[in-house]
Amino acid sequence: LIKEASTVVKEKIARWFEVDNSAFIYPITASKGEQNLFKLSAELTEEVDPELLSLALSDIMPRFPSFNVKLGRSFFSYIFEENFEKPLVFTESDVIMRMIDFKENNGFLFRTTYFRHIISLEFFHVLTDGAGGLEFLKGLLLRYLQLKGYPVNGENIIPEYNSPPLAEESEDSFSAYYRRYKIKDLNLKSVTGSQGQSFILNGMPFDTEGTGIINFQTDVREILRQAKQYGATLTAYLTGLLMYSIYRVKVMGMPQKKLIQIFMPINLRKIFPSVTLRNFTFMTKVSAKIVEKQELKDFVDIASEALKSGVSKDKLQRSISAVCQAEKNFFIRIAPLALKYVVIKAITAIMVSRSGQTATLTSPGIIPMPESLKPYVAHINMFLFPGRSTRLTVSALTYNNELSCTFCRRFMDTEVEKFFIRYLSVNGAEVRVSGNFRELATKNTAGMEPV
Amino acid sequence: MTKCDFCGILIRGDAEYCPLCHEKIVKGTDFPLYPPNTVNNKSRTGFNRIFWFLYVLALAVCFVVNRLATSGPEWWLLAGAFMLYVPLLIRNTIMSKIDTARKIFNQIVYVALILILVRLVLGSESTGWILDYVLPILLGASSLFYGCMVAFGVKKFHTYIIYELGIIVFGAIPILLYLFKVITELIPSLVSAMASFAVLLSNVFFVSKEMREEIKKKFHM
Repeated sequence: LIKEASTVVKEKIARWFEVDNSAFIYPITASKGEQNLFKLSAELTEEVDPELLSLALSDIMPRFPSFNVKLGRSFFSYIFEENFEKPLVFTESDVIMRMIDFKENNGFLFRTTYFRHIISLEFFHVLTDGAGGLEFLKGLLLRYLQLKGYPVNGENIIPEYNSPPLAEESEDSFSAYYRRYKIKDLNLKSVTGSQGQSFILNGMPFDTEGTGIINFQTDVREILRQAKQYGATLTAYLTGLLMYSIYRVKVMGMPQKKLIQIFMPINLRKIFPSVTLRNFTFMTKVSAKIVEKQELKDFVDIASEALKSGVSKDKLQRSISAVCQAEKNFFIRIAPLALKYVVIKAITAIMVSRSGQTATLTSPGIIPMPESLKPYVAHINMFLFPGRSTRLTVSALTYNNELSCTFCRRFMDTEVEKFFIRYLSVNGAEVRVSGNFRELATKNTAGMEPV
Repeated sequence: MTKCDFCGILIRGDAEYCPLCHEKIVKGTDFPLYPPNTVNNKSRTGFNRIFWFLYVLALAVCFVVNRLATSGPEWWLLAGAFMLYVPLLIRNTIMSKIDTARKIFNQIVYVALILILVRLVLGSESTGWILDYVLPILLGASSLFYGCMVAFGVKKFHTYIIYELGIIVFGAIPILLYLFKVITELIPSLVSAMASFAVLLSNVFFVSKEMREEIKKKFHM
């Protein structure tokens, strides 16, 4: 039987498709020390059964063909190739968002892990963005709970594992919405990055590899009430508060020319209708000059204004075209991948050294979930890898009226998080906090008690 | 859930300390939310630093000895290349997780570059045979090797085909060097070019459906 099965696999010709325009950069910027990863996790109400999780994962792969791939290379570009291997389930490592070893992971560009009652998916960003990853996580949760024997169904929110996959879910929406513009009309400044040099958060790095995590959960209605006092949306309020926290903890009293710059991925599906599960986000930024005396309201106003202008449809249309236009240029297309690799690597290194980012904040918004699943899924959390250019990331999402906000950092210092969370708490929010205490897992302090 | 009186927040999981201020709290009785931290000191940075320190030091010693003690070819360049080749062989080939096809390709390129360097440093009088015989034989044999791997359908033939095409192109280099009079012996260069051409021709005539798809994929623009 095994022999027969392997013959069938050998005869199959792997389907393949090009890596999308916006994701092309991720394999190039990945290095031995870091990979652009994000993680989505669901806390269940009971301990996870790894065997059923593995079964559920295998069951849903045919429904999500854009996830059932490995990364390949052609002479000119990166490609996704259909993966005939079995997706694996791992126990969670204490190194959150540890680099994915593709060989160990059977070539898959995402890793499935479990720990006690938590199921997690860690995605290499080349594969999908937060919105696509959440759809995959929900599909996995539905099938897992079905295998557990619970009376759950997708309720038109999550596709059933045995339903046919939709072609539109695998489309490159950047190409679908590409319009040709003259170079002077393209929103090139939005693609090339910052408005000035960013204030970079520094701190003592961890002695050992790993990411420091602090997560808090609270009633979203309380945070909305606080945001309303400033006439801001939830995202603008959180962004403003993050900038204010950085200002108060790291900058105040030290005037400088650098900007506090927060990079924010915008889910383009909300503006350009698309059901793609591949990358369809665009980075916008909120920049604030550092002046002598600033209050939270100043930062919230800056964030509100930047988010309003940053998501104008015309501006984003030009940004989409700017991303695609270079890729569609004949001479760039015929350049060998090795050459593109060297040039893009050099450009990104220069851009990072010249500007960088103070922090990144991502906010996928409200996560819809079928009512029948809610009794079994207690919390959903998101984590974004902090890289060399962004040493602090914040991910905020709302599930079942609960705001879950996760800070991921590359250094020991937790002052920004402390100020941010205490501010919400002092103003009336009941926050529930957890952390992975990575700062205690260092050579010098391992086994010691914190002071 | 327990509470931190300093921060005024509730703490989830089984933490013994407040994640924000690190004050001791009553240990939580909930499920742990993160795996326990381990101290992983496995780092290559230290090894790399030692290697590069020793490499630059050894290279500097070779350079000084070469210049002060001997008058002749710049053999310190060859010493530098060999000292670099050994770790490349160990890390990028023997211990690397890349596929075998690429490992072999990398080795062919490294060896070819070293041969060219030896010829450039020691001059054509004593080492002319390197470009005249060794390089063409190496490239011709490599073409045939990759051709056989593809033709006999090794398990992962598709990983070999891109390198096979690369080696076919390299196979033509000796004959070009002959035309530019860098190489003086025609026969080995001609054999290398013919071997590459034969492998290319076999791909055209005996190409399977899978291989055609693979070529289409690899050269898709």
